[in-house]
Amino acid sequence: MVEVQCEVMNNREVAGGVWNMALRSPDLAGTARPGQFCMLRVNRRLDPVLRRPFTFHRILPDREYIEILYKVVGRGTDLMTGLEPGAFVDVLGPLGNGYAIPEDARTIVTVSRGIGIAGLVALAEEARRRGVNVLALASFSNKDAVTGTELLDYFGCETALHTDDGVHGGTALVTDGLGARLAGRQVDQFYTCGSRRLAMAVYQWSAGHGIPAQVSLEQHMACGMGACMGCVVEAFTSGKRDAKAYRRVCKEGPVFWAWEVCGVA
Amino acid sequence: MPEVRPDLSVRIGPISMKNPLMVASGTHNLDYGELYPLDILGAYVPKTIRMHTWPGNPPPRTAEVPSGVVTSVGIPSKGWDAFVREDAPRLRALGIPVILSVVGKTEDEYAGMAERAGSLGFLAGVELNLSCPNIKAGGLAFGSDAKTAASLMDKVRKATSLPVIPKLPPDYGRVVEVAKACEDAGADAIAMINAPPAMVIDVDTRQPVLGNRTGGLSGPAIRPMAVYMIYRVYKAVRIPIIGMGGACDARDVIEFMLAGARAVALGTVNFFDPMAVPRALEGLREFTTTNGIDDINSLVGAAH
Ligand SMILES: Cc1cc2nc3c(=O)[nH]c(=O)nc-3n(C[C@H](O)[C@H](O)[C@H](O)COP(=O)(O)OP(=O)(O)OC[C@H]3O[C@@H](n4cnc5c(N)ncnc54)[C@H](O)[C@@H]3O)c2cc1C
Ligand SMILES: Cc1cc2nc3c(=O)[nH]c(=O)nc-3n(C[C@H](O)[C@H](O)[C@H](O)COP(=O)(O)O)c2cc1C
Ligand code: FES
Repeated sequence: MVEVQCEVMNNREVAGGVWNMALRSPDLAGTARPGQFCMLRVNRRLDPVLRRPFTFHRILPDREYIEILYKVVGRGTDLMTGLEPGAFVDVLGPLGNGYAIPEDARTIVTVSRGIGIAGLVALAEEARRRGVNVLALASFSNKDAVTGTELLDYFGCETALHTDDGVHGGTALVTDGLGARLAGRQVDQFYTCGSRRLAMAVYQWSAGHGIPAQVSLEQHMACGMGACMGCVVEAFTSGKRDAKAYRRVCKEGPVFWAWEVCGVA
Repeated sequence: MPEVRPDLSVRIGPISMKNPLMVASGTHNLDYGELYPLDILGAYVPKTIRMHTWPGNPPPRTAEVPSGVVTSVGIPSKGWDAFVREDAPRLRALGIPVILSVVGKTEDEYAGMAERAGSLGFLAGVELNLSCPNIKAGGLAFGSDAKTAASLMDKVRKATSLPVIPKLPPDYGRVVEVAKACEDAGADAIAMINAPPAMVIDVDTRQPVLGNRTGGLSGPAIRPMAVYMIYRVYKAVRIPIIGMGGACDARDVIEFMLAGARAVALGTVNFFDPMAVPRALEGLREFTTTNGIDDINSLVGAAH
């Protein structure tokens, strides 16, 4: 973990209200793992006072930069859109536990809704590098919001796109039709990110088919370092399936086993 | 000519510190050691612990406000035994004075932990978090009035020979008398301020944002309040004050010292500026050098 001043190489809108920022940092690019995140200080002055957490969208050790993909939702992300190439931002990372790809995995499935695709792209890139097949189910509210899928195609993932406005012929719930799509296939692991509803849907499906699922959670974060105890969710701890306890998303997560957060005692 | 290093060392009662910098309980952890060596601190204060396990408050636990955060974590705890097993060895290995912050629901719980703290053999002192409800007094905080605070202080004093440092709730009306009562009951120093009670309501849902409904405000937003209260308590007591409440950098540390603090803890700043401690230390060296201050103690209370 390091705190570094990163030069903004690029920062542009890539879909409706969604921006991509490339940050030069040999340290982060060299150590970050898919599913981990960084805390970005969006303003040197104390407005807003807290850093904002973002997962790694791309990790490029050879080219010594990382990318984040962010949706403008409030003051912090709005300020971020004003950062121009050449500016420096203060970044703390990599933080938390990332996704794990099992050694012997042949095929994995990623399921995302909206901006949740950000970190799954990093995971898919790593999986493809290791020769693992990736089926990526990506759902968006409308066709203008679609982002990240070109990269998935480029990595050689099998991408299934859904938009609520049906432009791509999809259905509203990304997990609908999962059975038909996966019929006759051997899937080793599921991955999802962001919404609790989606995590639950993926958990129910995967648990029903005996396939482990990893979910990345979000929670408001003050420190990102496990110090403030602010970012907790109720979850089981490995080996203790009887009672849930508060666990820190920044430290014990953000990636959890789906059963840890969605399972019942 | 050899560079003259200004003397930054201070004493909090019997505790010798190589500089006045500390961290505020609950705002730091040993993972910061990956960013800078923690032994640059004058003293370390870990998160308050409880005798028994406790889950803490339901989320959301934090709400950001201008220049601060309103938090209500509720002091989750894995209990004394797990603390001794898992945390104590790592704290001992820091090699700097460690002041253990404790909280109890009863006087006996505080006294029991203070006694055990002494038997661990490596702690430099015990901080009593007095901002928590005393169940026997109908839920009023132990630090909310002079009598309750003195009674607790007295009990803890008898239970341990370690330096005892009550940490006072930031009550404008009573903080001075509570501080004096603690001094009379044998406190070695006073720590102040804890986060003032605060609340954030979401106008869309019309409900409080925090899971616990109310919380405490911390960060730069409270600094002038902290400076004011320390200034007043300094006039009233002879024991040293550990100041905190929104201090972010060397200039803030010096402001607290001028008001009367002998040591200063950085708290919420650790969340948004994780390198705040080394930066403040460097800043203190610079400030004392350029201003020709050869003993930092000369700043303590100098604004009076
Ligand atoms: C581990 C982690 C990784 C994340 N990765 C990404 C990412 O790759 N891309 C991305 O666009 N977003 C990501 N987020 C969410 C992102 O941090 C928030 O959207 C951002 O902090 C909002 O800041 P703001 O100042 O613009 O919004 P604010 O003004 O603070 O809030 C605006 C709205 O956003 C919500 N919000 C604020 N902070 C969070 C948060 N931490 N989690 C969820 N909702 C929040 C608020 O409830 C509010 O409704 C991630 C969050 C976490 C915890
Ligand atoms: C998230 C959080 C957790 C805290 N936990 C504790 C605690 O366990 N014990 C304690 O005595 N004070 C606790 N505090 C209060 C701080 O130690 C400090 O007194 C207060 O925040 C004011 O200083 P600051 O503005 O520099 O943070 C906590 C504060 C915050 C923000
Ligand atoms: S954000 Fe502070 S503990 Fe997770």
